[in-house]
Amino acid sequence: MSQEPAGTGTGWLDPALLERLGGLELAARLVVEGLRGGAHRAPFPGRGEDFHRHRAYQQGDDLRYLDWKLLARTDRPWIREYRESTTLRCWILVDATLSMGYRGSGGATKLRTAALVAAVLAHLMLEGGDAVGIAALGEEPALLLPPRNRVDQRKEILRILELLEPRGGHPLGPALDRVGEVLPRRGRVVVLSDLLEEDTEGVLAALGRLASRGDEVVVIQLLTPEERGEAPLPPAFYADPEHPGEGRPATPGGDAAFREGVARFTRQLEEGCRGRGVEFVRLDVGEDPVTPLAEWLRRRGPR
Amino acid sequence: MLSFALPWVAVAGGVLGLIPLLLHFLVRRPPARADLPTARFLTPDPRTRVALDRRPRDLLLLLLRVLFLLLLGMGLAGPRLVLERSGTATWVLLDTSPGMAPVWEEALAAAREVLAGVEGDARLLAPGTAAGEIPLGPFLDGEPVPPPEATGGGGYLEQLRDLRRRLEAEQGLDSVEVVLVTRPRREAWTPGLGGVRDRLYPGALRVVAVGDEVVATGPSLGEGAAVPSAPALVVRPGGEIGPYVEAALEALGREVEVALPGESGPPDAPGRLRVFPAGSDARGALEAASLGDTVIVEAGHPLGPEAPPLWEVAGGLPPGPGSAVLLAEEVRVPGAALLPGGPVHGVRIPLTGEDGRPAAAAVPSGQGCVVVAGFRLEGGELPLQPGYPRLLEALASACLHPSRGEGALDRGALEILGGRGLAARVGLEGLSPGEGRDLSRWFLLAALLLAILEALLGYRRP
Repeated sequence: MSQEPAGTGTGWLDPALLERLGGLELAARLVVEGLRGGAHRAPFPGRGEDFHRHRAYQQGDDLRYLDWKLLARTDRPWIREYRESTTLRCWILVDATLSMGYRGSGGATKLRTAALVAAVLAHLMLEGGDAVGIAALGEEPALLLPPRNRVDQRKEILRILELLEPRGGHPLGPALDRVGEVLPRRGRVVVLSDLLEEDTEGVLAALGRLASRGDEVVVIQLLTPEERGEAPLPPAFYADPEHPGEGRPATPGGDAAFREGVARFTRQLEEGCRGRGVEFVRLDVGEDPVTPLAEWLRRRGPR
Repeated sequence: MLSFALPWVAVAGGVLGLIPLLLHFLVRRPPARADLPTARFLTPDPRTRVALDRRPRDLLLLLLRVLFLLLLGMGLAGPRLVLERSGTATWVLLDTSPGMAPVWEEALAAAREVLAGVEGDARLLAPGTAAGEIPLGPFLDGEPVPPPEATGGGGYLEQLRDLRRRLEAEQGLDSVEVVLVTRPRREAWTPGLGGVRDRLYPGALRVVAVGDEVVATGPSLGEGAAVPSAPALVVRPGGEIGPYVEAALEALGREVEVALPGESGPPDAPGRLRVFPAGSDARGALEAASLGDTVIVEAGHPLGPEAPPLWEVAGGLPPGPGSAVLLAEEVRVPGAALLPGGPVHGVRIPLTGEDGRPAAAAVPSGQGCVVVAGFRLEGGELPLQPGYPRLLEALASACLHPSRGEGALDRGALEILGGRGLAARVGLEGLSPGEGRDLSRWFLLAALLLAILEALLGYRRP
């Protein structure tokens, strides 16, 4: 049951199978190793990767950043300084509302896929020297784990992601503002959500506020092919799980307007994000969510 | 052809099978609900609600349920697969009992006349002949057929039984019409014989009578029969026989004289009925019989030291109480205690036990008759049975009344036959409930498989 993600040059097992075998940790680790095996440039470069300048060595400097080549040439110790001389603080906000509990034909729920993606991104960012924290959105926004780069941070992140369950339907906009409040300086915010909000403008405004003060904001929208109208669904009485009283009888399989409506909504979101300096990524929650993730990371490259 | 032992059960299964069908159309279930986070982009389709109510995907489940109930009903109704048969046959049964000898040619002519008017398959059966069947071609061309032997053919019931066996073995016939060519005889018959006849052969018989009616001599065993006039002499020994024999014979209209042990009664009154119970001195019984008396001797008592051994065990008789003797095939007289012993071969058998073994033997002797009863005349509950008088009468008339083996077709039998009014066409499957191949377990197995499939599909469908 192996599949070859496009462009990575690696192969790995079905993530759903990985999860069943060893949980989120194993799945995330193998995905990361697969990415690493493709000799990608780190998509989230951290300390030591973004060189700024050399300066003279001063007493107490970290010898890990001593430029030994320059020392050999000049006989004088020089320290390599990077653009971000301090650790980048990153928040990964996982939407854990009821709509994220939807399971398409691929087998995994959107929340589970989001957790896998969050685990992979956290792993990569921690490897890059960033401090990563986890926030979740359910009935209320919850800042579950502050950003750190400690030895056990990855394990803590995985533990939190494993325990996430879909509940509630708190709006995303206020949650983003809450994350912005605790992010004291420029940092990175990665949002994993289906973005199926009633107040879409509120969400875009909150994203814009984060981006305008210099935060790196990445929005990853997760939708299944069924939600996009790209997979057949039988006639039934359909309702948004966050609004169960507003259902309607429909036949999605023959509803072209449904497909077009979702596509239009997604386009509007993407345009709104890009217009506000927010990176927008569409991730299909199908049978293989890892391939599109790998594709995105490959295209992203270092920043 | 599929036949059912209990057709109403099959019909009930079919009716029950309509219930899921009615429920499918009458019961409106709410449509299936499903979550879809992007539901707000769906175009509401009111027609979907009606389509969802009908749930066309449930038609398979509906069909399975209907079939299950139908097969269950059919399986419990005792289905049998009967080989397809076609056509109708007419079988002419020639009575070959000895009484037919004087009217044999007339019977043959009648049979030819019947066969000439038959359309379809026809056969001519003559149980008393060597082959049992007479070829039609030469017969219709006038080829003579010799009359049967004196003991040929068997009785009426035996002939019907043989006919049924032959029909059961035949293939390719939808129904058989039997035409019985016989000579009517007025002899004793019992109404219950009609049920025996139906059991042996449930089809209809058309009777063609030939010759004059024969009135048999001797007393009748039927109700209200002629009263015999010969007096009866009961020899009462040391208490073996009580008042029952005497009372029964008196009820039959006989004059009963009771002789003390050692007494043989008036010597100058031949033609009497003498009853010698076991333990009495029956010396001189043979002499009395030769003079014209009918002597009934209870078994176990020798008829004098020089008497020939009338009882020779031929297979023996079941000893002990609780057995019964057959007055006729339909009349059983329980309570008789059969004693060891049996008749010699060749004597007439007026009575048999339930197992068909002789219960009494009658040997003509001179002008009279010696009847040896292989059971106690007043044993157990025997005297209290309704058939007890007739049992004694059968013994008393043993030498006068033909043995049961020489089945005569009497007027009573003809009346029973002619008055039945059964359908002229009777399918072979009606002869025996056991005809055909039993399919019930296959129907029930199919119903079980359908039930399992329905349960699996119903579980998987939301």
